[in-house]
Amino acid sequence: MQNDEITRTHASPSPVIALAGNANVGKSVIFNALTGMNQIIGNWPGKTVERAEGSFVHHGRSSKVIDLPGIYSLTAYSEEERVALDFLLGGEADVIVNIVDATVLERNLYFTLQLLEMGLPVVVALNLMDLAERSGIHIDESKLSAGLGAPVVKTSGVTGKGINSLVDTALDRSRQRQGARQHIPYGKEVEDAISVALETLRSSGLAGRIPDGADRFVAIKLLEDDSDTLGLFGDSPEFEEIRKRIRMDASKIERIHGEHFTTIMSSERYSVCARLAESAVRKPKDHRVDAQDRLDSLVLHRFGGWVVFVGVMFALFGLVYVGGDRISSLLDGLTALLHDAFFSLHPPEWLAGFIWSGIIQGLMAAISVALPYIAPFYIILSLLENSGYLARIAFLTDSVMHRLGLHGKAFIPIILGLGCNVPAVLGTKIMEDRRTRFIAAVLATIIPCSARTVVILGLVGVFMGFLPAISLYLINLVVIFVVGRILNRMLPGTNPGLIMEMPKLKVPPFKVTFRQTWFRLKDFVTFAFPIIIAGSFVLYLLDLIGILQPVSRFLAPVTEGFLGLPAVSVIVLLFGILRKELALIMLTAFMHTSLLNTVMTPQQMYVFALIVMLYVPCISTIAVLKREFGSLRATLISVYEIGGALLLGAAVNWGWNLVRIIF
Amino acid sequence: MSDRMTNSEREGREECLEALYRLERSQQSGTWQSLRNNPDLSDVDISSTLLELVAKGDVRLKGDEIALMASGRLTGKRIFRRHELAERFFRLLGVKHDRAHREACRIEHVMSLPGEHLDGLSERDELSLIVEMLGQGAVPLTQGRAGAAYRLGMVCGGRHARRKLEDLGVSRGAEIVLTSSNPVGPVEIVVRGSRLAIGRGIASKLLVIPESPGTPFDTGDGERRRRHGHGLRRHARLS
Repeated sequence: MQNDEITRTHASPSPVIALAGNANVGKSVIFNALTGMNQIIGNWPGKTVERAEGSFVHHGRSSKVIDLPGIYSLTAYSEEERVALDFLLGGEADVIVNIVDATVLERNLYFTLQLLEMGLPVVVALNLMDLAERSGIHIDESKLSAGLGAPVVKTSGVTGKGINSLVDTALDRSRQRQGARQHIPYGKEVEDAISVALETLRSSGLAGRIPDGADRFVAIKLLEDDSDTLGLFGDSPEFEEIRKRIRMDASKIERIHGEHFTTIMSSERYSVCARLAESAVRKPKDHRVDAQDRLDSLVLHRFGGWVVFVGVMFALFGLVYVGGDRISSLLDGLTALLHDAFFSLHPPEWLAGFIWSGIIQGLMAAISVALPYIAPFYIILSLLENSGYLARIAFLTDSVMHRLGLHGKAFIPIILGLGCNVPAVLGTKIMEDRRTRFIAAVLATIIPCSARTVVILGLVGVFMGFLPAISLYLINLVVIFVVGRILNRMLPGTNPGLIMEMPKLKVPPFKVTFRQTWFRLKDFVTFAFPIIIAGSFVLYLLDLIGILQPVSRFLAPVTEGFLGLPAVSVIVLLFGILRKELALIMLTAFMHTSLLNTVMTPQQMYVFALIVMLYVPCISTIAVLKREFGSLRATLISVYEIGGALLLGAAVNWGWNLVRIIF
Repeated sequence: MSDRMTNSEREGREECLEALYRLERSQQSGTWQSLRNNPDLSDVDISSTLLELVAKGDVRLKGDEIALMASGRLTGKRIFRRHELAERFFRLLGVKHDRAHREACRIEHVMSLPGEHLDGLSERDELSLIVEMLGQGAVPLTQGRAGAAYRLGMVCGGRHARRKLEDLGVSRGAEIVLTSSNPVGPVEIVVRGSRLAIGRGIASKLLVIPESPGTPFDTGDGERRRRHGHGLRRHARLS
């Protein structure tokens, strides 16, 4: 029994298990261990947060798993938290498996306590036990379980130990159909406040709107003045009444302690965490300097760290270019073969054009972008995430990123952009704040991807020399800085700054990396390919109708006068939206020679390359932008970039003319 | 010449508003009499200052009473807070009470406090806390020593950063071990067993108190903070 969508009725025969926990606790490893190849990766509807769901069969019965984003608390400040909170309040899950890092138990329990406050059926998976044992940490899970009021199972996702037991326990728990059996009491003052708030809620008419068992959670949120988190009650005046009354009680306590209720609750929870950790955990007396620390003293070193970084980047990018190149030429050969095979069938003229130029070429364009470039960079992203090295890159580059109005985590998407903009835009999901995510994504589309590099080097590099090509990259750099500054000023909000947990460095598990890449690719194919093929088809139609030549002639005054480029450039640039390399390829085709220096002046070549470099992200990138940020923003970005590129191109053209006249 | 006059006029107005604010805080009404009896205002021409304040819309005369208007209250509150901080600071340095008060009266007109709007809390408590922590040797995290252990005193930043830090374990009273001491780049700490990287900007807003006992400035006012295991923290009341 394998369905790809989760049925929303509670009487579903397939229990729904939600995996929840902090980031870097090994959730994806456990998710992959459970679901294998039965998973789908996509986005939560309307959000830029990745969603992974899957299913598995255990003792003959099928279950569904959904991997919630890695979060540290249930206050909806970030999109990840919003998504998780809505899901948990929605009651879809039959059991929550809270995955916890056994080596950082005390802090991880903070989130566990919030889950228990929600009255949800929770099973705690004490993960990374292999690492814990290696560090000499001993945990008494029965004491922990007694303290929490929830079952605790020791697991090691990487070795697979404990997974079966975890599933058994989780499924058992899901069958019990009731929430947390007891709540963990906080300090007397806080508990009194909660009781009063609960009483107020229960005696009101709004009690019915609270999901089962979540009344304690709701009471606490109202005391904390956090009702946006709930969205359950809407705007009714009765709710306003209750909210004000509860807040008044809360502010009495706040005044005594000089702290906001949120901070008071936080202290309460941490007291409990400390108490539980103290009773259940035995740590070795002295802090052994282990391999982790020694490795980090190099990797994070002010100078040594950068050496390591450059080395790693060279290795990864080198592999990609070499591999990507091979695959690219393979695909070109394949395309040629297909072409010959197709036309040897002698299809009728009109059909041939339709199928070949309209559809198959678009398909091949999409594949030849996806396979050599997107796939390898997805792999790199996955490797960096799962090995923990990504956090170290963020650490090293944080101060540089601040100049751009971003922070360290933005560096990875930007670096990936040098290869291909698609994984770069997708990589921005690692940033928590939507505003910085957007800025990073826009900047990522201005980074010269390998396709643009092909045009720059193939045109300016070959025919004008090394230095002019470098100058183009420098212009690109300046544009990135300027756009970053402008976006930072314009967009409301501030750059939050880096606050990040440093995960342990580990060897990324191969299966997880492979599967993540595979399913992310599938996702890309699903949403992007139709757009790419449609785009290619539209271009074909325009060509067929014969509108391209007249249009280019019509625009010739602009193209030739304003930009100083040959009139066909318009058509070529249009095709370049499909694939940037096409701009160069088609230019060669239209000029009927690959020796472009015989038909174009250096000035024209330079301006052309400049425009190609900056004018609009390729259609795959536009598709990803649309998916992550919505059609409006995607369109705005494209329009601005086209406009900006044309203006800059014109400026360079006329500046050059001016220089020529003077000298 | 005229600059000094306008300055002293401004100071006179601020002094009056501060006095009125103090009266308002202690639920007393401001009267011309109370102002005249106020030693801090002995150098001030109260009648003309009051007329200026009425003209500017900072106060309103209701019979015998002088009532603060919104703008006047804002200024009065601002000067009051600066005074409180300055006075406690001088006392920390060992300056005697009267002199500390007088010096604070002078400095309150020229100093300025960052973040003069605080997050829905009684500003008096936050300021008192900061001063008390300074007495215990608190430093911003960026000025900490590598390898040293600290307790978090306060996050002087925005609510968002404070919340995010709390979620990651950096809560008031939490033990923080500083593991890096690079002059540039993020700060690395260990809190509750987990390693965190915090950008320099935010780190400079974390006020931390060194863990070692016997700090140089011990005002004797404070009650020793209790570490985790006991729930709510109580704050020292400044006399």
